[in-house]
Amino acid sequence: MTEVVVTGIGAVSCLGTGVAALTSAMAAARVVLPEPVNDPPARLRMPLIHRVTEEPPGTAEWGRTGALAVVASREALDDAGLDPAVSGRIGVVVGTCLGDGVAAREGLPTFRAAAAVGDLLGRAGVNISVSNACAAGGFALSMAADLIRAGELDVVIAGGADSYSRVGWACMDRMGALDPERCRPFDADRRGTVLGEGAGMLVLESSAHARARGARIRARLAGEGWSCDAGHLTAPEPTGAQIERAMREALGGRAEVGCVIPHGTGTAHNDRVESRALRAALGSRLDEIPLYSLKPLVGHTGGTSAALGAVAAVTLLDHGGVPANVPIANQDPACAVHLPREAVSLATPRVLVNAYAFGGNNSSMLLERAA
Amino acid sequence: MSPSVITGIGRVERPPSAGEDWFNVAEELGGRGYKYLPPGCHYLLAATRRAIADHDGFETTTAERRGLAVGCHSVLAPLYREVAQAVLTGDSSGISPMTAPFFAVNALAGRLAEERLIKGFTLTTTSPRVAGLEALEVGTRALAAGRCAVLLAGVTEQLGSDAGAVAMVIEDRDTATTRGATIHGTCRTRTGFVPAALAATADGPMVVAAELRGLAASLGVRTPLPTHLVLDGSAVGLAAAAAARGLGRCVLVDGADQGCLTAMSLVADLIADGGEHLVVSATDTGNLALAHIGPGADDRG
Repeated sequence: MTEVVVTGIGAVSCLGTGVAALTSAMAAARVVLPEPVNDPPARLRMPLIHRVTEEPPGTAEWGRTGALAVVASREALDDAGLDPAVSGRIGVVVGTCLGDGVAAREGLPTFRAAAAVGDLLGRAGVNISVSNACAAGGFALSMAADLIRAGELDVVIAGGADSYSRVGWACMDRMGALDPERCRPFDADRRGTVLGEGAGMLVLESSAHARARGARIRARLAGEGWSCDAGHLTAPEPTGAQIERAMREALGGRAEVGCVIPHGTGTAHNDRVESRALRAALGSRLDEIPLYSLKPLVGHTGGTSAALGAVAAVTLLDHGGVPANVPIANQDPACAVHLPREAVSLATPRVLVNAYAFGGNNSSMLLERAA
Repeated sequence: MSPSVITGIGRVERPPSAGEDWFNVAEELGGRGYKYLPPGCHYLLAATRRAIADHDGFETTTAERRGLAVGCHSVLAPLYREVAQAVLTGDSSGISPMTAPFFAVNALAGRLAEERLIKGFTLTTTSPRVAGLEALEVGTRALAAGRCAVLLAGVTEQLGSDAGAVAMVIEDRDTATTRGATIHGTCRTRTGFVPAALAATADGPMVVAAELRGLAASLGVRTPLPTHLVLDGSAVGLAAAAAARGLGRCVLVDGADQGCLTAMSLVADLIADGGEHLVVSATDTGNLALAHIGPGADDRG
């Protein structure tokens, strides 16, 4: 089967533009407090956001979400040393939960982020928009890998992007899914999540194409798993059976994992069910496997979250270590996972990234250091 | 794996002269548990029921081997406007708890997955105007990759007169033949993209033509074939119209005010026709799609 590798990564979040801003904050492991939503006409009960502070260039043309996707894609392409004009068969797959927030509230066509990245490439090719809510980025990366494995493409720019949406924030507010203070996954006192903006984009290639052009291979996409709870629209199925199945599929029978980047949203149900499913999939080894919880730093970035998780995973593989987790006050005993408060080494160069979504969409990805 | 074939089709579409209340929820779906869902969800559930009844055998596939791909774009626009308005005049408590989850467009597929116990996967595709054909493409690619054993693929839309849903059940030919299923035909789809700014240049028509030829070649299409166009007046649409003449005799459907249902309705019509056709769709964002519709005996993969 065609091996799929990662040759470039790009990110933008409340922490700043660029992967360096992300890794710097990861290393610092300090609490990042959200700020108030700046949408004066909208009355939200929990108006907090992890906002991208700089207006991304191209917002007027592509909408804010599309512009964020373009920013992250530019960095990923530069990182990969790839010139789209001469890079063979290339395509785009972008996952987004909310699309463009301004368009949504006006009832206008909303999902243009993939087209924005297509405009950046400036050439014809595959261009897919997938909107599997908070797992969209994970599905986008997996769909990109499928295109490469099927021999249809050599290179795919794939990932996720999401930005403030009055509609999205209001509905999450209505459902009581938001924390009044900050995003604190697995904390006994967690009361929900805090939404954030951002984009995470990766350059995926066939290993043959990457090696032929002398690219630096940053990681290998070793496995993915898909499943659907087919149950409640907003709450995970309590046994976590399908979540576990997606993880097992991604692991592909591999016994050792060096780190898990969980979905870990800070909602009561998600964190508990994910913990349970991790235990079922990894058994007693889970006690030794460090989890690295990213959302306390960047918030819940919707369709971006799995892609930012993948970007973070690549940096962990690069550095051979897992940063300290942002501190939480008291870990929930029902969430029996290992959340190191100090940096630890990556004992096995393999990172599992999970993402779950409304509608019961579950995705897991396994990234490992390339040989 | 043998090529995929369509073994069930269901559709619900707003009649041309019908008013906003054209769809009868109680009659199509039953009395309880459906009333407060968004209309786009009603349409998708109803079309799927018809498709599954036509397929006759969906439930024999284990839940974890069922897949679903749904294309949408503007279907929830009325709900988004309502929600946005609700938090201007009051706070979020004014949003119905029944409709709040649908801020995530994939909740439409999620509701269908719950009803039909689809545990393999669901995918929601959302490229403007081509989302339905995009769902066919990504869904059948996932089927071919072994991610499911039977695929439900469809579209749901609510954009003016372009309102309703089309659903298809798709499986590989050998499985369909073994179980004695009625094979309605085949639909193989590829989507593409040409930047709108590039389409508007002097080279634009040539680039769009090359992209459409590439999509046709990737499907192994032998032209000329009757070609049905769902286009708007954008530079991309005009370039696609010019390029499509190279594919065969063209029939144009004005897609300017259409969402993603029109192209899929056309596909369903042409499958019923039983012949070999092409459907081309394009939109101002640069998104393109080409679908090859073939009769049941078509065994190209």
